[in-house]
Amino acid sequence: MLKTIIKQNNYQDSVNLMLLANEINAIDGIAQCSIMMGTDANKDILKNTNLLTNEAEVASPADMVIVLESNTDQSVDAALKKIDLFLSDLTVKKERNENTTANSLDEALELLPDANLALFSIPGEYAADVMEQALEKNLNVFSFTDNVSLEDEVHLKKLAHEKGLLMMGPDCGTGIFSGIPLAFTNVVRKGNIGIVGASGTGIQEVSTLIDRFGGGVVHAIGTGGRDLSGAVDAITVKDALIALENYSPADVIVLISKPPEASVRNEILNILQNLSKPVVAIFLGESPTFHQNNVYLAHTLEETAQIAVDLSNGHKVRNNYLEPLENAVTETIPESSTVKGLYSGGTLGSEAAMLISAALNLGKIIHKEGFLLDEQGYQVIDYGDDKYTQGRAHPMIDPRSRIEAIREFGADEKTGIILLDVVLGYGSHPDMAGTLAPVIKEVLDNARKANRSLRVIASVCGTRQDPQNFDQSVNVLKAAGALVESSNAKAVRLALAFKGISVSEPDKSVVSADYEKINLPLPSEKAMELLNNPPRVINIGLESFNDPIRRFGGKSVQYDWRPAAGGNKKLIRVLNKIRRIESVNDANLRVIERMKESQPYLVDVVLAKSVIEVLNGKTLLHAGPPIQYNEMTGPMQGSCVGAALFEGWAKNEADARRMLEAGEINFIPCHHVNAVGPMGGITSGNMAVLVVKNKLDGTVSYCTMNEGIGKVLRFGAFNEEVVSRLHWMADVLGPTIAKAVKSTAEGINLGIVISKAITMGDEFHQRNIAASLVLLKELVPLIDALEIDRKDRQEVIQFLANTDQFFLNVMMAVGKSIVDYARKIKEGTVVTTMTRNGKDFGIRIAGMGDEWFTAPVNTPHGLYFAGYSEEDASPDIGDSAITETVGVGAMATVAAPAVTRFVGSGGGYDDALRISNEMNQICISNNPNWSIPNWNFKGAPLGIDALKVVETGITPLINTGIAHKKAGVGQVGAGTAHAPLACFEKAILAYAKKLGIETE
Amino acid sequence: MSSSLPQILSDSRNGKIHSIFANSFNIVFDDELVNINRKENQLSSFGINISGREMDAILASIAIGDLVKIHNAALRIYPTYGSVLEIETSGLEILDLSLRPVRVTALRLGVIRSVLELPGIYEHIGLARTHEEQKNLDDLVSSNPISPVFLSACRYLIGRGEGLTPSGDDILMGFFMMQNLFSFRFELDESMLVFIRQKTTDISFAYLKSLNNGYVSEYYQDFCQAASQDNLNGLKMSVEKIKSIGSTSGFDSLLGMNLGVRRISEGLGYSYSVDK
Repeated sequence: MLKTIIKQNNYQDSVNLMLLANEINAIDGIAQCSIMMGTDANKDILKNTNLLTNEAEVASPADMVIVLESNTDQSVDAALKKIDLFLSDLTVKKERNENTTANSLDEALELLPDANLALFSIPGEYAADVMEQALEKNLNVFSFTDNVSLEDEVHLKKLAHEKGLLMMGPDCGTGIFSGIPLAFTNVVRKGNIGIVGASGTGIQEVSTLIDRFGGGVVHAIGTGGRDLSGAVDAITVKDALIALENYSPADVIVLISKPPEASVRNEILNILQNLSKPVVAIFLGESPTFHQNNVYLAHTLEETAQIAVDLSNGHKVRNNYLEPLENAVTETIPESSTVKGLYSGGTLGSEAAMLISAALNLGKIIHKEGFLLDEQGYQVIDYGDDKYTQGRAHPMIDPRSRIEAIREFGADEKTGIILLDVVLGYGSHPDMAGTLAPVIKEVLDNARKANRSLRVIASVCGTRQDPQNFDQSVNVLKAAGALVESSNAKAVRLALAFKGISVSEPDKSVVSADYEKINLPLPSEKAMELLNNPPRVINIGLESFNDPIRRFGGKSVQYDWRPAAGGNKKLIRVLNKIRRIESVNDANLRVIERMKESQPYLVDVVLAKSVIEVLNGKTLLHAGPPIQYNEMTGPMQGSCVGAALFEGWAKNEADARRMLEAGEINFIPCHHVNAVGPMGGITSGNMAVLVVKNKLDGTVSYCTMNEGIGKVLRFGAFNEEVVSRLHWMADVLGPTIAKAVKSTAEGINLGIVISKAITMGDEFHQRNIAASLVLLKELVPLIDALEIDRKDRQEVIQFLANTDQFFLNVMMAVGKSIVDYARKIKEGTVVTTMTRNGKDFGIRIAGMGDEWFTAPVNTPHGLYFAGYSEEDASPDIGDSAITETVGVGAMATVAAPAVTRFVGSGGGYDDALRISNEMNQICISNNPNWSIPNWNFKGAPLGIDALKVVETGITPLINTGIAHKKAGVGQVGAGTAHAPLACFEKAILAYAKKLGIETE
Repeated sequence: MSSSLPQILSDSRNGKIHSIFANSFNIVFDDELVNINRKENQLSSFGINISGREMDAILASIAIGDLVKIHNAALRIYPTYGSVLEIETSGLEILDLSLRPVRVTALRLGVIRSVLELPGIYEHIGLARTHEEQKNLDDLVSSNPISPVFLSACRYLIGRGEGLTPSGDDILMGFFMMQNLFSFRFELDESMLVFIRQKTTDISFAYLKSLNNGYVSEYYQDFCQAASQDNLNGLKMSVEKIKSIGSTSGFDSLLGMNLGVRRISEGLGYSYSVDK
């Protein structure tokens, strides 16, 4: 039985998920379990293991996919509990680290402004673009991440070189800067040796041996295995060598590499000879017979370390470093028995393959499906190869592959010797020796019982300072019966000794050779800064990589990375291209500047038809993007019926519905005629509308007045009470407010009303009571001074006093006057309209002018009046999302925590803060005019950037009233609804096309 | 910086952080210790004093065993935590801490004896006042320096007591310093140095070895200088400073100095001329 659980939009890094899967697989009754993000590559892995269920197949890259195979409900329950516990533990850890955790590169740079290194361990398929962003922000890059294309690597390294930065990796497993371990690294004593290495475990073996030989390493700069290929042309190796040459505390330079391409090798060797410092170089696989000038050429990783330590101590380099083995060989193993090398470290495996192959004359080492050597029964296998790590963590973390292999090869009577490496250090398994020991003992016991000769030979790559402790690991292996040598090279030599082969090394002396003298380039300031100071790291990916950095005196912040655009690679590409266009950024800043500087004034209240020409015929305005009557929700249709009755076009509901269904009444979005309307937004010619003028350029906007609560037109009610109230509003309320407003010199400055009310707990969508009171405070003296009928005066004031949400419609007109002024700049990605018509959510962005981008609207979640539930709710509707468009409403929830409880977000201030902080992530800036005291006086979010919305997958949250889905019932609750992501994606793709960016 | 160091620091050598304390640390180059201390403290006979700010930064970064290299007249420290650090020595003022012998005069001996007669000193020293201890101290004063009795007294005291510089060593240090000051040079031969090396701490050994090479720490140098000038106030001031060294080290060495000057005054076993 397969059970699939999809945790939507719940990104976790792969190592965490693999560790979790390990734990789940250990539960009784779980046959197998796979936990991974829903990327295409992971779906292939699930398919290969017959775990790709229908639910998993449709998961997005941002979704966590859990597939369990089990025959008992109890084990599934146990697994799910464990998964929840694991994930909540991760959440707790993240919450504890709030001050050092960021959600974007920019935010990370705010937390650590002097950051000089970005450490990547995110999936390779998304990494190149983020690395490029890091380089653009002048951060050196250390990429533990692999699976980055060669083309991307070349591009990134060229960019890094041009900017004077070091691009280490991709697939750079190890690094040490100022003694601070990065990624999978040992704790190595600091000293006067600098290492440049195109091999992770190569650096680990050499640096740990240097430590154990009494020397020390100041920097170990990994470059990634492909750096010395012809395509990459050793860009990072060369930059790193020049940096170390100019870094005075490094007295000796070590270069570790697999054999480079010939042309690259020659160039590198020439550079090495031009360095002023002694260099120890190992091109693994080569068997040098002499040293060349200042370049000491080593055969094994052990010899590399030995020469380096002698040089670092100012000692003369010896002719030969071959040392006796620690274990005696008293008898050889049978002719038919062979050696099986089961390696977790690729370079250690390569070294073993090279030494065995050379000693037995087996031919070249290979790289085929994990095999590094497969000749005449002699096999060396790299269990870190992709073949063995699909759906499993690297064998330095996850011992399962090698445990299976030890048992399999241990039972094979042709196996005479099993060769193992145990790699210690940060990132590695906390007790690999202890985990392998029982299995080693088991296979040795079995062989003994079968009267068979079997030996397990191991070496431990580590130091006494490593978290696992070198001595303890060695002792555990010895106690299990393994023969332990102090280096991988020695372990291989011991294995060969059991075959009766004694490995020798030729004496090497220094040969003076001609080389081309070159002027070495000057080092870049940024690379030297990285070497001269402890690294300040933005860690992007595996959170545990922060631990050694912080423990050893470096600084780091965690960038809680998630795949941009939900992992949609096409969109990611488009986003990155738009982001690099400077004029888009400039336009966005100009648009939000206009929003910020706007000066909205209430200047009049008039009949709609007097200012909106089209309303002089049988035309109604509606909320949202364009829609026809037959597509409208019940409440919106109800509003249309009410408007037809109000205008006298129909005598009764049936008459009105007939006219509407017959298409006798035209519809046009409020937004097309400088207007906005709440909920259904239905506005007819004889309804009174507020007139708000943005004094900066005279942009004018209109909105009907708020009718109060209960049975009201905007929620689809259309009875006599509703229609009568509309008439009173047009005949009495509107003219009275108009006279009052006009009695002032300029009208009422609404910017000031908003500034005051936001400090009094309003967010202007769900809560307007403070703003309504402040406006009432302005209006009452003016109305009192009017020469009007006393009863009218009393009724108007009473209505205003009763209507807590009166200011909502004012705020909507304010929002409209702001966005219509701002969107006169027809560039950029700032959202200038958000609205819903009950069917679609529509947005407009500055760069696309009047064009609508729509997607099906969501149904709000919230609290319901007694007797109603979510089943009664009409989908999200209304132009009132103009409040969120200008940064208030749900965007400014923190200003009105009371609303958080009311709209059912679950709680109080913490939820309000969380919502506004999240909304702030998709905005460009904050509006200082609308300062929120309980947000530490930060201004309301300003300028929703469609680019950020698509990038983060965070969509604007809209506060809203909830209408009953049936016309005439009215409001049944209040809640929130998220804007659908699709309309933002459409807008961005359209804008990209307009900018000439290839979107396919 | 002590005048004993320029020669030691002239070669490019590798050393290690030897020991770390609240306000100072020691570096060892092969067999030579270099003490790094705060400027406000006494300059050791094998020491360099640096600013408090520099010291705080270094103490926050180093661990025992960290590599230290002498590079271009700088001490380059490869600390466990943080970036490589350097203590520049080329610009440091060199304080002459070499012990220059002075002539013995009755007046001088009298003045020195008067400032070194410290009532109740035995209550402040680190050794218990046992019969055996007293006997060995008396033997120092009264026996022939090449006699087995004298050597036995020395061997008894070396490494005796608690602390980084055991009280017995401090007594001997004061004792020998006074002999050297008045030209009755006691050369520690190789076998004695080996014995001391085995019996006492690295730091105490370093002080005795430094004295054997003709150097004393700053307060003792002040004392010697005041002695050469018959400056009673100077002697008193330096005695007060010496008292403040360590928990008992200052008093231990003052006792040794007192014994040393007694030996000279009493003129036992060998001849010397005294200016009248």
